[in-house]
Amino acid sequence: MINFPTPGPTKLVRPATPEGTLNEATPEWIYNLLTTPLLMGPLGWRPIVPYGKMINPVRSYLTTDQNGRQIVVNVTEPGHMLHPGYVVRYVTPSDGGPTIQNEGEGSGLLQGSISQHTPLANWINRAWRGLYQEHLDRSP
Amino acid sequence: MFNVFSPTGVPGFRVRPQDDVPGFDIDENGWPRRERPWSDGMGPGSATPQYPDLARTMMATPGPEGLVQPAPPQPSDWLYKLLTMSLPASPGAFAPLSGPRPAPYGTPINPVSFYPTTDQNMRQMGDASGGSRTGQWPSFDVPKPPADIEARDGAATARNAYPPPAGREAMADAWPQPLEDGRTYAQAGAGDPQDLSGAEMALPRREGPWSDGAPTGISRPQAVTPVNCTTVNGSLDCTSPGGVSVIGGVKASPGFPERLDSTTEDKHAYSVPDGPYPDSTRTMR
Repeated sequence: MINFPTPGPTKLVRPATPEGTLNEATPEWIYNLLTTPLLMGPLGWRPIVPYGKMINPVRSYLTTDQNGRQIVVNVTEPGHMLHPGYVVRYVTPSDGGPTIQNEGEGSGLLQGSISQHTPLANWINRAWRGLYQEHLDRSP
Repeated sequence: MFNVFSPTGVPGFRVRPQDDVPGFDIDENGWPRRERPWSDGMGPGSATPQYPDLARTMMATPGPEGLVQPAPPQPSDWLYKLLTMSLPASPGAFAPLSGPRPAPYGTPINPVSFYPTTDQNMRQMGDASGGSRTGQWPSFDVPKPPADIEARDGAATARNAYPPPAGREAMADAWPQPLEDGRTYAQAGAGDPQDLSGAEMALPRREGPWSDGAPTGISRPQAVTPVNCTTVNGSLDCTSPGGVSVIGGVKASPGFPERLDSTTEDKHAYSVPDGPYPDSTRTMR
């Protein structure tokens, strides 16, 4: 959870630190799509966004909660489509195994009151689901 | 008076029958009589017309009574070939599908959804009486497919399997499932903002599964503390929807509001559990 604090591309995600680490938070499949050469320009095919460019930047902090447990906080940076907002990630135990809780709040338009009447906000929220499993599956 | 045989050589019209000047050469019936090429401005030895097809079309042919009459207009060779060229036959809407030809417009591609399946244990669609209707089509207003399409049920199923089942599950999982009363969770969460505390806004007030499908009781956060985010001296102090306090060390980025609570316009809070992970011993390198 600390090593991969966001659902961004693995190459653009670094561990959360107390000082805060700048990370990409766009889900990897969306990021890969945006950086795939799909547009024809005067110099040939080009992507919508060059690979490596921050699309939805966040700063990932490693800190502690009121009980002294480590938590990860992703705070949006200007330019993030859900700015301003943040997400707290922490682990809770259960009989079935540990669960990573992803809790966030913000006032970004795409998750605002209007979007609540569409599947969009819920779809965005679900970007966190299965994230840890994805990282496990990709790890050698 | 007009003297057509003027011997004086003065300018004027000099018209004689059978002379060599350009003019109309017709017989007494009004039909062309000349057998040599028409004067077209070419040299004397150049009797071949420039456009043989056109010339042949316009060439006079003897009539049944020995009269010379113009032939009816005929298309040239290339036009004739074009018009008489056999076009490929277009299959009908329900022509049998054979070979790699694509299905024509109107042909049901996935008859699995409309027609009886091969599962004999299932009641067929439209069978309200419960009786066996094997061999009969359900009474839907859809055209009956040809026999070979039903025989190719396996192929149709294979086409219907795109996206693959795993992908379909993922797609279905990405959309909110309807509540028991037919509303979406998003609608339920935003149903009555007046009686929702800030922490519970946009979160479903029900004992059923969370909006992400996680079972109740495993990952439901303790939503007892009103959400609160305060920026003091550039430091962000937040309490998450689950009641976790973010204590110090978190810098507020530019543009972050002083307060982010239930009074903030368009504020949204959510909780998405990721797990549980029974195999917690696995680690990532």
